[in-house]
Amino acid sequence: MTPVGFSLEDAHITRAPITDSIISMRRRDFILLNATGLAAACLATPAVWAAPSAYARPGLLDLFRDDEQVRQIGRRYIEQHPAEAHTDALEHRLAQTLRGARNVESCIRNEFAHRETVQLNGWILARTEARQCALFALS
Amino acid sequence: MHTDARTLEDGSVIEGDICIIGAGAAGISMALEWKDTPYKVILLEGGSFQVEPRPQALYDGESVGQTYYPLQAVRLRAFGGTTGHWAGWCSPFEPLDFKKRDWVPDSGWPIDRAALDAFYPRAHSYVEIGPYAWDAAYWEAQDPDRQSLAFDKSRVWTKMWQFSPPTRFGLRYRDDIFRAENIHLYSNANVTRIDTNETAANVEGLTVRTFEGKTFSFRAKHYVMACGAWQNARLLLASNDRAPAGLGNQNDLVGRYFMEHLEVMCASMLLVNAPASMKMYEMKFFETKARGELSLSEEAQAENEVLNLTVTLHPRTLEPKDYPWLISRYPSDARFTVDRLDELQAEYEGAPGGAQTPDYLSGLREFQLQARMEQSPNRDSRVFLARETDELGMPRLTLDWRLTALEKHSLRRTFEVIGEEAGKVGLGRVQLLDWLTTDDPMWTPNLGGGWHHMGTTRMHDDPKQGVVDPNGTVHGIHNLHVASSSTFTTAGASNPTLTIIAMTMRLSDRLKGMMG
Repeated sequence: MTPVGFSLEDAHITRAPITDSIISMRRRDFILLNATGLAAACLATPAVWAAPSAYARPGLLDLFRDDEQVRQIGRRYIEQHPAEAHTDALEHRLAQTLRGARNVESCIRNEFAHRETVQLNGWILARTEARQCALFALS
Repeated sequence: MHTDARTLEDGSVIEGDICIIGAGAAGISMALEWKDTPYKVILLEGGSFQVEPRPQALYDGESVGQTYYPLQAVRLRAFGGTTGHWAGWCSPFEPLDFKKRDWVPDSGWPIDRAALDAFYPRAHSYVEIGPYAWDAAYWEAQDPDRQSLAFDKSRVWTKMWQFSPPTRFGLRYRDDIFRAENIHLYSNANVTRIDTNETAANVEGLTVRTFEGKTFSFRAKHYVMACGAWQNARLLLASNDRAPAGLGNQNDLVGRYFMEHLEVMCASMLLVNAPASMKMYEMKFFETKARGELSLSEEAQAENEVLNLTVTLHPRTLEPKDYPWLISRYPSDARFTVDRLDELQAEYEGAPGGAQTPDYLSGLREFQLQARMEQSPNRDSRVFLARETDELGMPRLTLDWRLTALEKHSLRRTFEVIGEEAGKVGLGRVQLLDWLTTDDPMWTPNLGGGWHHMGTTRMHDDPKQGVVDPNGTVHGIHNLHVASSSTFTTAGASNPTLTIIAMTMRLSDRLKGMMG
């Protein structure tokens, strides 16, 4: 099983509900889980390990097809929001935002619909995907 | 019938029933509406049948406001008028364009769109475009490759354009005018003054001059000013012997509210997937009959308090040096554009098998987005008489084109909305260009205009707010009428030619009624 990433082109693959227990998991926990070979324990509940990777990997990577551009956007977000200049802060906010969301894609679309957007290097982006970029830039 | 005014005897007085000043799109279509009627129609053209330096020099003038193209380069003083270099873009004004919008100062026409509904189809025939069908769905049904982008149509819709061949009125209608027994065309006949009675309430004649020093008088029951927005204002202002401020200018409105369409690159768009075909948004000169552009819905415009605009999709590879509308590099010789278009058409017609241009948008994911936007009516944006006079003794015009914060706000906010909407439906993302990401009032040097001059004799039912009444008659002068974009109260997002002709049809019908 491969980690399920958010993709703008393949939005249908991230439709697993994100539960409270999932979003409380930090990315480093996920890494640790994988590193210790315990990922297999999650196979029975794929959403448990799918969700963190879903927001750790920006879907904009698939759109831009340019990692450095995504990092630049992430760095610009951090410049504009210094209080979120740490992975913990970003993960916490992403987790809060995604709580109850059907998936990342729907969350992002919903933010666009409600003008919960930011402008970074001229790009009009949903706040969640901007935070994803910031997290990516810090990784 | 045609007469070269230079062959007339000096001091001649020529009479008719209706006298039309200017043989461009409005003047020629007005005249043809009267073909084979019992009325004698006089059609006066200042130039001849080709664009020549001497008549063009009469248009020379200074620009003192927002940087603009050389004044003499953008209008043509010849039979056919500025259709000699138009690109043929047609689209009717939208109902929104006629409404009072609280966020647009001095908006609101005294007529609504329905007042023109009967006249647009007639205008279609003059510019030789397709059916009176302006819904994208109609054009999608005609061609499966012509599909709109999947925006939420209640927010971002695809506005349709149709393309005239383009009809060069001077070529297309020359024979019709020459053969019409009741239409009397005079070329090289420069109207330098409108002569009125003492109270300036009734036009009694027109003073017409030639470069050779001859002067004539043309008299009729009704007079129609069918010049462009600059020359209509100039002629009214210069006719100041009985009305010191100029005819129709008792409320200091003639020449004011000058408007242009802003044409400027604003953003880029990156789509998730390249659509199978982008034919809906492509336009190839001399080939494309109809295409779409993006626009905000009336509701979205109101919600965001923005001006009306449409958005052209270009390939991302287009460089600023290739922008066709760059003011900074535009030559002052009016022949430049005429020759360039002639060359393009010759190339096209000479190409084996017709159109050889490949689909230039299909297969792409990245586009540049260019706006074509109305400017807000602005009393301070104006033309006025200069002290310097031209070769015929008429004061030259000075242009003081001005923009407001609403224009930049509208561009910025509109492209933000398009970005939000593209994200909302998962279509892609939009990036504003640097110059549009700040509230800095400065404009990009890449700002251009459509050469669409509007508003200098604006229409309003209140003489204190407009030069012409809802019928196009100059307030206070019952037999002087205007058929021109100079009457436009607001500029709309559509190019003006089709609406100019529709309004000319409307005025023509009214004059026929007045003539009994």
